[in-house]
Amino acid sequence: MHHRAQDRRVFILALDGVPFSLLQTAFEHGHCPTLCQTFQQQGTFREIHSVIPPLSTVAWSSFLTGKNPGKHGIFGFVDRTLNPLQTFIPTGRHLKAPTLFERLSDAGKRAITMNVPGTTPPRPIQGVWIADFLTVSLEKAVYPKDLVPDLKSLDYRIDVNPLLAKENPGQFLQDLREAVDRRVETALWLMEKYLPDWDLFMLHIMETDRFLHFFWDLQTEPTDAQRFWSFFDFLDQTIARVLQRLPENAILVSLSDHGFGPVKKEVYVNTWLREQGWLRFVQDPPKGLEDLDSRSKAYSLIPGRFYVNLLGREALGSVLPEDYEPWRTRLSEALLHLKDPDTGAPIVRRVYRREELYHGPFVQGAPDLVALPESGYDFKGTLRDVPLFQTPSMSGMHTVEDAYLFFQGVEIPQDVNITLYDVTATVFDLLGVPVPQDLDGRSLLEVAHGI
Amino acid sequence: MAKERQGFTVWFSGLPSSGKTTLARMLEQALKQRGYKVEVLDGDIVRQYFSKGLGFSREDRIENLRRIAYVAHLLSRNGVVAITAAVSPYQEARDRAREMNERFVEVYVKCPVEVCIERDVKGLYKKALKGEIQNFTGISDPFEEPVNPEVICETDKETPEESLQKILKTLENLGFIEREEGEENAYSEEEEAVVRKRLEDLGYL
Repeated sequence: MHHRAQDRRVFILALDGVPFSLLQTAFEHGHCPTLCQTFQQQGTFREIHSVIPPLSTVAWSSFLTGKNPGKHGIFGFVDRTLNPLQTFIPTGRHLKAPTLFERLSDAGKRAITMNVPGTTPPRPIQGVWIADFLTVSLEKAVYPKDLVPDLKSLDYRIDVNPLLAKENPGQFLQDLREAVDRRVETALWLMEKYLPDWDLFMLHIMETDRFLHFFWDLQTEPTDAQRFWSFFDFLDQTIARVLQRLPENAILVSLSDHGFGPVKKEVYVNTWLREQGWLRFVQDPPKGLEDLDSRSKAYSLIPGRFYVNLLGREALGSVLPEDYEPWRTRLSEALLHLKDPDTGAPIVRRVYRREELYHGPFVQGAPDLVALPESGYDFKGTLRDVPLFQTPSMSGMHTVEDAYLFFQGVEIPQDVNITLYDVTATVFDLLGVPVPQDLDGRSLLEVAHGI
Repeated sequence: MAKERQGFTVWFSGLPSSGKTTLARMLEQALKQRGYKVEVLDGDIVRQYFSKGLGFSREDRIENLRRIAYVAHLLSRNGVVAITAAVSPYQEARDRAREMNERFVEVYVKCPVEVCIERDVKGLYKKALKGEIQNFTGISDPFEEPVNPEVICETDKETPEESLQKILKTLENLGFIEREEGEENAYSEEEEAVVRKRLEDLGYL
């Protein structure tokens, strides 16, 4: 850690959805020896929080831009346009703020990014941009394009086949392992052969999130726990190939974008809105939000994002502007009273108003309320008329708490709160590039020891 | 890398705290995403680097704007989009800038002074009202409303995103930037269906 900023490099290892507590348990039981040794060397290793609600594309977009969603415009895996009122899948084209990679590129640094959610389609930088699982083909995933044949020959995989998880779990596990193995092999080739003078390398592993969604419950069954931990041991061994070969002047930053926990029940909150008489459609099943009946008061998109059907904003709005606040209050109170019929326990832990979570020029795209569930209740967004409570189809779900951060060589005092935005700002600082003033975070080097 | 295209100048004017810098930065980002080379000449930064020593008298301000217009000219003739974000309160100076730059778009960022005072991003109105700053536009120095700007953004009435869309639309209409149908859509209809299916299979929809 004695290198001057201009001689430093930063390697970011992003393990999607890996909980801090899971790593601690793994380390206590002798699993993941490389990560254990790495994360327990000098530096900071601790729990951090995700964005609210904890969604991967939103969390990583926030990390990459160093800004809250009100300043970058991505609020979910699905968002809505107001006129016509309909849903769409946001991509990097909707990301309205420059990423870390572009800003570093503008500052003359070379960056390589692989697989980070929210990075479709690729953008031109000085370096390499390989987009995420929302790309439809390898040809469309890569900048510069002349890398496509190399990635093909390395058998690079954009994503696994999620359908296998139900149809053939054994094969799905194998698929996950292969995808991780190929990504790591490609990363090694990029960092040592293709662009050895990179300044920033961000390697993202999506397969941990996939694994935890489908196999979270394995860890609780004594007979299955071995299969659970063997995946993480495999991951550890595979990642070790990269970690052992990092250049001596590279600082390792590793983080996850959210935590994970068990799912008890899926909650179809639009059904609840229908039951209250606040949501109806002109036909059932509706084709989409465009079939909203103009008398509707509210609707929801996954997970727990609620929108008032506001006159003058939504194409089919019905709530008068002067009734907007009363409706938010009414919805919020009703949500807090929502109970699990089997136990009588509340389902909603807290309801956030838009302005508590978002600020910036793009808040128009933000939900009016966000309901954060009590542990184990997974809020779904289907518009179809389905039962309110359903048995979960997957065993793990995202949590706001329990993401992790490791910062090699940077000792951050325990009482300093760390946001994703601070990590972004710190990466600029470590690389000797002035921290952009419009970020929502500040460099942790200001408060850290060690560097 | 950035495509080789003709440059042009986008000249923002408006009272302090009217929203010039916000819109200039948003426009910068939108144009970069479309593959343009862009440089923002922000009033404050320009004064720091090449107009140091110039004050805020009418004469000095006109000189400052003349320098900005010249740099914008140098940039835009080399294929860069030059975005300027200085108060530029005088019609005379804006006319000169237009003469100097063939491909030129003037954006008037219109906002009532009361609203700007309320925003007071840099706390300068407060000082000006107390008399601690002299020749402060909107308080103790006039702002001459642009006579014929290509775009007027009323930032007390529109969202920043709406203002940005207005500017982009004008640039498209003038042929300064390419019209890109479905600009925001990274997917064709078929591709979006594939992605939706994938997200559904993952329980994300």
